[in-house]
Amino acid sequence: MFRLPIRDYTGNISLPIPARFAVLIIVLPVVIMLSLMVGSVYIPFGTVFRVVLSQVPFLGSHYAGSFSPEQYEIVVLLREPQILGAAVIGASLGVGGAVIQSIFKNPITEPYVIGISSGAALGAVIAITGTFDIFGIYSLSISSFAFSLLVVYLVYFLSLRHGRVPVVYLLLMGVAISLFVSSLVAFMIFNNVRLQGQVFFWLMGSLQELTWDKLAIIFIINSLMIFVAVTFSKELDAFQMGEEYAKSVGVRAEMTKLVLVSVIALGVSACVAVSGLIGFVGLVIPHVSRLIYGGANRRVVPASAALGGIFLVLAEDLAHSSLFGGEVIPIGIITSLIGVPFFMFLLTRLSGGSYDT
Amino acid sequence: MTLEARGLAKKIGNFSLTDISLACSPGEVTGIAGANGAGKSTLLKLLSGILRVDSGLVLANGQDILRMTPRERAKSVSILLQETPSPFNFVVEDVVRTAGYFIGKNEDNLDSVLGSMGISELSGRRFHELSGGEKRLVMLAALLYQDSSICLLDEPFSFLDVDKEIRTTRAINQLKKEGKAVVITLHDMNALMRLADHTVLMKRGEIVAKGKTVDILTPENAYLTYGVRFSEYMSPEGKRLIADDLLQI
Repeated sequence: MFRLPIRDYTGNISLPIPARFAVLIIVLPVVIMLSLMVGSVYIPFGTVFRVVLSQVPFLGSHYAGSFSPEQYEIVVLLREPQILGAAVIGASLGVGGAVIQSIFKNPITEPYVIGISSGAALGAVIAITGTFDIFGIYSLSISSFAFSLLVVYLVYFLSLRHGRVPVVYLLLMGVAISLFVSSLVAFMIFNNVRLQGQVFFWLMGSLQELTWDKLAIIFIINSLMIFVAVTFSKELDAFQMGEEYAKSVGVRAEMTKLVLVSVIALGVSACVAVSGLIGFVGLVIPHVSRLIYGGANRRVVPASAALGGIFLVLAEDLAHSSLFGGEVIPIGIITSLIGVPFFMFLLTRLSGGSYDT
Repeated sequence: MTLEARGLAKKIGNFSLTDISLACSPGEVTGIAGANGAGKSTLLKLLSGILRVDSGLVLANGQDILRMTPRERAKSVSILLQETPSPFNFVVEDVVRTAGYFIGKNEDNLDSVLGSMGISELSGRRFHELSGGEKRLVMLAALLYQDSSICLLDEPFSFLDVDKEIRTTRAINQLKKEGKAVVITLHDMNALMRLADHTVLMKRGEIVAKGKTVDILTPENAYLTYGVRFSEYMSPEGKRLIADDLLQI
C-alpha cells in the first residue's frame, strides 16, 4: 500500500520530528506570501514582497515607490488582514481543538462543544436583528463575543458538582445548552425573514469583515491562549491518560480545567466574533497533528497552531478563487468541502491503522 | 513512609464503604481481597487521595493526604489504576513520562525503569498497539518511575501471562526491599499468600477480617468473604486454598 514517507513517529522514520517542524515553520510564511498574490486582481510575487518589506520599520523607505498606491492598498488594507486573520483564526481553532479533545479525552469534540458557537450565534443574531447596536460597527463582534463567554460559563457552572466539574457533565451540559441556545437562534431567525441572508453569511463564516484593528485584538488574545495551552501541555498529556490518573501524578485537575476552558473560550470566541462560525478546523487539525507528530501535546499544540493557520489560509485562497464564478463564498463552506475528503485520505493513508483500535 | 487509614467512609450511589481502618508500614505489603464489588478499588482510590473520603482520615507519615498539594501527594503516593488509559497516539515513553512531569523527575532513569520491567524495547512503540498485558507493565513502569514512598496497586496481575506475572511479582518485591509501603488488591487469595505480609478481607464495603496473611487466609474467613466453601491443600509453596465447588466441576 502507498505510504507517505512521514508515516510513523517511531518506525522507519525518513523525516525526523524537528525536520517536520522545520517544514511547518517554512510553509506557513510561504503560504501567507503566496496568498497575498491571489484575489480579484493578480499581483506578482515580487511586488507583494516589496509591499510587505515596505511595512518593516527602518527598512520600509527603501521600497517605497516600487509599487503603485493601488497595489499597496490591495495588499495592505484588503488582503493582509484577511490572510493573517485566517492564520490566527486557524491557529486558534486548531489549538482549541487539541486542548478540548485532550480534556474530554474524546476525539470527536472541538472547541465549539462547550457552548462557544451557539453563544456567539445568539450574540450575532441579537446584534443583526437590531436590538443591540450601541457599539456601532463593532456591535456584532462585541455582542457575539460576550454571549459566547456567557454561554460557556453558564455551561461550566451548571456542570459544577460538589465544587468539581466532571468532564462528562461538562460535555453533556455543553451539548444540551448549545442545542437549547441554537433553538433560540433559529426562533429569532424564523421571526426575521428579511435578515436571514445576513445571518446565514455569518453562520457560514467569513473573513470579509476583517480589519487591522480586529486582527490586532484577536492576535493578542490568541497569542495568550496559545502560550497558556503550550504551558499546560504536560497537564493535557496527563488528562488524556484519564482525570483520576492526572490527579494521581500531581495535576491540579480543577484549576487546570478552569484555566484552559477559560482561555480557549476567550481565544476562540474572539475569533468567532470577527469571522462567524468556521467548522472542521477545530475537530480535524489536532488529529492531523497527532498523526504526523505523535500524540504528546508539547508537539500537538504548536503543530495544531501552524497546521490550522496554513489550512485556513489555503481555504481563504480557495474562497477567493475563480472556481466559484467570481463570488467570494463563505470560508466555512470551503473548510468542510475540501477538508473532509483531505482528512479521509489522511486517516486511511497516513494513520497506518493507528486509529483502528 | 507509613500509610494509615482511620475510619474511612464513602458513599457512591447505592454503594457505601464504611468504617475502614488499616495501616501499612515501610517495607511491607498489605493485600486487600474480596468479591467483585466489595469496594477494593474504591478503597484504593480513597487511600491515594484521588477520591475524597466522606469521613475519616488517610495519613501518609502522619500527614493528612487531602491537605497536601497534588504535587506533594504525588511524591508520597502513587496508584496503579485498574482501568488502562487510552491516550491518542502516545508512544510508551510519552505514557511513562507523564508520571514524572509534576514532581520534577529528571528523565535519566526513564530507561532504567523500562529496563527493570524488561520493556526497554517497547519504549518507542505506540501505546495503543500493545497487548493488554504489555500495557499493564507500562503502567507499572510509570508507577515505578513516579518513585513515591507509598505504592497502591489495583489488580496488578490482571491481563498478565506467566512471564509478565513473574516480572510484576519481582517488581513488587523490589518495592518492598526499597522500603516502600505497598498496598495491593487481588482476587487470587493464593497470590496474596505469596506476596502480602498483612491481609484485609472485604465484603460489601466493610472489613470482614484483617491481620497477618498466614493467620487471616483460612477457609472460614474465605467463606465469610466470598460465601463459597474452601479447603486447604499443600502446594510446593506451602498451604493454599481452593474452592470446593471448583474441585467438583
